[in-house]
Amino acid sequence: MKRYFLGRILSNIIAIWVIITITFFLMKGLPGDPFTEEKALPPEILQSLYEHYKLNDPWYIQYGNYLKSIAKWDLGPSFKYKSRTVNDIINKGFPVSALLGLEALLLAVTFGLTLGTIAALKKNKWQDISAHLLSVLGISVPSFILAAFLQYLFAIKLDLLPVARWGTFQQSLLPALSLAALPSAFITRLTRNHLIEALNQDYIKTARSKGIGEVQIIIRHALRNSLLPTITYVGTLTANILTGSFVIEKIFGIPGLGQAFVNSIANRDYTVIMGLTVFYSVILLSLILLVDLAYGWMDPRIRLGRAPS
Amino acid sequence: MGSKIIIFLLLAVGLGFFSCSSPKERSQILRINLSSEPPTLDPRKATDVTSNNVLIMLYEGLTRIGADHTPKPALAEKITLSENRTTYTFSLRKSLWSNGDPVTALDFERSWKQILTPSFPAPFAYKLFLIKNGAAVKKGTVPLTELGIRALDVSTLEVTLEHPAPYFLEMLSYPLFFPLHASIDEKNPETSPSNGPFILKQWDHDNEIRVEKNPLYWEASKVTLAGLKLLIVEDATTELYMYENGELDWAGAPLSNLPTEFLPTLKAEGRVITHPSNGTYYYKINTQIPHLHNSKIRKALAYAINRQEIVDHITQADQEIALALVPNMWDWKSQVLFKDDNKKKAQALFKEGIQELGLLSFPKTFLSFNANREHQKIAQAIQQMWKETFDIEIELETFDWRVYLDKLAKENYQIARMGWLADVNDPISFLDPFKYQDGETNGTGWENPHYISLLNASEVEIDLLTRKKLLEQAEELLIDEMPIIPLYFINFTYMKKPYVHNVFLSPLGIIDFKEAFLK
Repeated sequence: MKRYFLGRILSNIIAIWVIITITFFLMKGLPGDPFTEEKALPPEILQSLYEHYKLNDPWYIQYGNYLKSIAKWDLGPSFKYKSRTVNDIINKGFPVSALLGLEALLLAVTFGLTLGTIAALKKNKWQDISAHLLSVLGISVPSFILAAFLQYLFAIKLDLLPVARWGTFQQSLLPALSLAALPSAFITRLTRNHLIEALNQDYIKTARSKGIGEVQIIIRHALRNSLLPTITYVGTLTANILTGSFVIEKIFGIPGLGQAFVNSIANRDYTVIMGLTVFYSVILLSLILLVDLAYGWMDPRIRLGRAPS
Repeated sequence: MGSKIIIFLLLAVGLGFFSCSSPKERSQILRINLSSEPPTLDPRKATDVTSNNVLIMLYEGLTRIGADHTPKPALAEKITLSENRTTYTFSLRKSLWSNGDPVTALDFERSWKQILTPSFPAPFAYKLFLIKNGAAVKKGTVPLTELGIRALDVSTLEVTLEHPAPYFLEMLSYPLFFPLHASIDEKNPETSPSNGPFILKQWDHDNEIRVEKNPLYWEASKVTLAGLKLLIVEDATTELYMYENGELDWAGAPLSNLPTEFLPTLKAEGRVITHPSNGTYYYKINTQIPHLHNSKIRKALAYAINRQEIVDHITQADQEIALALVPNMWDWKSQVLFKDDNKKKAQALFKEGIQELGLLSFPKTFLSFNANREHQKIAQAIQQMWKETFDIEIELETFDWRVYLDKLAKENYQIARMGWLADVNDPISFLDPFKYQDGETNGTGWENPHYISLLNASEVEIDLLTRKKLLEQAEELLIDEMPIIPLYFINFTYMKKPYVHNVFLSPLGIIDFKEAFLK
């Protein structure tokens, strides 16, 4: 187990290095640079800026500098926001995006599991059909449309919740709902389908014949087995949702990482692009590792780190 | 965002248009939306509208733009100009930094010299090239001591220019020319003392900035606001919703835009204010492309456009159509140098041009713009007009903003849209970019010796009326050669709550809240 874990960490580090390298060259290949302005700067001033930001160095020096700074987790100053460093941007934006993401995740998992279970138990009854309709809606309506709709309905028309911004629980409700819709729908579908499958298994019949209560059967036997695909999904979803959604953050004026990431590309803010990509990769890879570990715990048939027998 | 509009329209029809909510209790705190995080609060490094508009709250320069859009003496108590109109002597009034230190002429000299130090990263340093030896000092070929700035004593500053510039006093009101406290922290300049009507209280990045009245400001008696709350909300529709919900006192220009899809309704309700800017929306032509090299072809393209239709049906913000490059300014009336929608003349010129070029047919031509719905609609309309008038094929090309700028800089385009906002209230701000073929903002490949000599003559001309005549001639020449096709003069559109008074919005996009009050 320990060897397996260390091996995974090592392969993750290699993966991050590959990501850094690809991002670096893609980024340098983008037309335009941080100093491209509508009113173009005279060449001598442009040169002095390149010199100041070390953009005149050969690519391998710049690449080496990025690697070094990432290894030290000192991601450098932003080109665009003169008094901020990439570390500042992450430290400020990530907690916001993560909190919003957690709220959305909690909503999605609670809602999805409950609705999915009800749908499975009441297969083909009205409860199942309504759950189906809801999840089709959740999957097909893009989050920004839902966000605009919720904003208009709850903030403007009904005046129940704030239009936008971040700071209070009320302000977090609409963006969390908009973010949670799609994953809720997905989890509902996953839970329903796998629960129905599990409920038809022989061991459930055995359990029933032993006289175990229905609630017990569903929670301890059926649900546990039908959760695996949901966990896989929630793992990658968590990485996605924690690092922030550009559209939702933009619509609700939330100072999160999602906006920072997209804006950094538009601004050609090289250090921010690199820093956030690496940060995002670390989170994603760690969560995938966590999901794999959770598998072993959930399903004893999967034993990590052992040769298949 | 298209779908956002559809939803809005559906709901607007179903539920009736939202009503105005009443403002909360009238504290003297004004709330506006910056719509983006200011990249810096260092006056030497600021290049964008957001930073500059916050800096104008925090600092005071030698002059400040008044309600009539002309520069008024601010920290300069007395200004004397030499006979040859190139040497200015400023006597400073007694004033204090927010930490109580006196503001001195040295605080100006030091900051300006830093901007022009070769290694100092100030993108707009070139705006100080007007100062004697400015460009040479920045290049490092002339020492800083030769620069035309000198603090004669703590309260007297002498500035010598390369040539007379009637717009210099106006330039002095811009953040780049503000004084800086000697103790400025290079990494976090926003923590340094400032000397403007307001002081920075809090900067919660990407979220909100708070400024408060500066009790030590030299004209604090004129400042009524207790402070301002500057939000950072990027989405224009959200901004409008917040305004409608009473969470903002101002929406739209110059810091943001009213969403175009809402404009017709808001205008019909008479709630939108339009304000002319010193900006022109035009198409620039790459004259180095063989089939666009002929000026008759370029003029034909320009004459065939029905600008009034574009302004009435697409942009819809009461813009004035542009039949010249330079818009109205306080001492300049925009010229009418050709006729709008002159299809007959356009067709005749086009035929002549084709013959002169020896072409059998007009090659497919590319019209580029940066991704934006309004630019797209304008381009589609013009594509249609050209097709109808000349039966030519125009292909539209859209690009991401930075990619677009890169293409323009490399002159890798045929016809491209441009929105130009002046740096100073002076025609030179529009005409100068086209002076030299290799000038970094020209990009049309056009150059004309007569145009150069007219601009050169205007530069040394002391008599203002003669200077104006020279500039008018230069503009006539430019439009006769048509390396650019003017379309319309840009307007600022915004909404403000009826209780907001005395906010000065300059045609250059500087919004001054110094004397504003809520009542």
